[in-house]
Amino acid sequence: MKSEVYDVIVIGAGVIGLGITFELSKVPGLKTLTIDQGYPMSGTSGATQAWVWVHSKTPSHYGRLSKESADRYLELQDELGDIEYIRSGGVTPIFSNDKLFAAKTLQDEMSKANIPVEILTKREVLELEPNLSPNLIGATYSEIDGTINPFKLIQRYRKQSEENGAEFSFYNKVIGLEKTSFGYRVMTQKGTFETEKLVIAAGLWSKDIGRFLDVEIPTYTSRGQILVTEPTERLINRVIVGMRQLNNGIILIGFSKEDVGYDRRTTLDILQNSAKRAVELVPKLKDVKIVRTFSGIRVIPDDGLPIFGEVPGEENLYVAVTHSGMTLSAILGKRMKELVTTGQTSEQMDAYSVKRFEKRGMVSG
Amino acid sequence: MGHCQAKYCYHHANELLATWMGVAESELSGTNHRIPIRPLPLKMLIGSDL
Repeated sequence: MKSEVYDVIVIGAGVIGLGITFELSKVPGLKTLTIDQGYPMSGTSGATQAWVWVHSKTPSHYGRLSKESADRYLELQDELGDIEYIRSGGVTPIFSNDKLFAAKTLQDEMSKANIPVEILTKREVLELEPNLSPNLIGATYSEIDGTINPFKLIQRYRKQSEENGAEFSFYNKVIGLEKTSFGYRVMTQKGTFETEKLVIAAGLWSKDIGRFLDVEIPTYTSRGQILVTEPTERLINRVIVGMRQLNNGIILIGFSKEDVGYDRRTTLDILQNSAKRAVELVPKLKDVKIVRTFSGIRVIPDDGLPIFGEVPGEENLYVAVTHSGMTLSAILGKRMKELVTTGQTSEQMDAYSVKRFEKRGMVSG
Repeated sequence: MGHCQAKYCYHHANELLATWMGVAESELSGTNHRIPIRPLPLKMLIGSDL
């Protein structure tokens, strides 16, 4: 390690931590260290379908934040190089009248954030996606949804950050945090570091990291299991909720959400259910072969919305934890840079403060 | 990248194949641990004759 004193330490090198690291690395003279107990993509960021998904992110301010992030990826393609961000559009098929009614509510909510959500008739859906089941009665659709290559994104975040002077420490678990007169002391398996400012962006583990400083970050875990098919003919042109087809023809399928802690196994019952649902959506999938499966553990803030900002009452301590890391890394990185370097963000982010949980009596302190 | 649960794919695939073929798992031949394990059609995974 070149130095043990930093301006900013980021805990977590997943897509959120690296998005923040990348943005901070562009600040001249700012000395940063990013620490991870594993390596980039060893956790949730490496076990994802990697949608950049906007159109069902309610309430509207969350939709707006997601859209801003999707737009930021267009810029990042120039800054980082090819990250395979493809704005293919996203489809949520509808099979019942009550869901059709809910679609109207969604459309109205998203219109507040100028996010185009169309409610398609059956004929219109099947024109867009001819391989979808004729049993559907409609769909919601937005052209703004898409996908990204998580491996390229994370690799390029890291590489560019390193070229800009950011330092990293991998396979290094944080084992304690202390407040100091200077800022924070970060105790790790590989040594102790001092920093003026500290960013917690450790995904699933943020909750545990926060507790070192008696800060509650209310989140829970949700396992998602994904089936991977052999490369096949083009069956899906857009993101169909639960599925995407990669450029090489492979289809990723996953619908599950399970509260099983940190257990990353896959299980037969869930895989069968996911396969069944996939075939119901796209009947031609029945003869497509599964070649492997994997699972990832999502981190979900207790109310589903991102947790972002400076921790109230804790000067120079920041947190960025969210589900939808792939969708939001671009904008949360940018906003965290603003916050850390200027003390404020260019757009209002109060709705995402961890303080909201205190108001609801969800934080014990 | 460390997320593939290959051994579970292997187990599931063998279990399903054995059921599908009506034999014990031990009677399946020529298997080993590698990726891809046993490409398995979705209809077989579901366990129905779609």
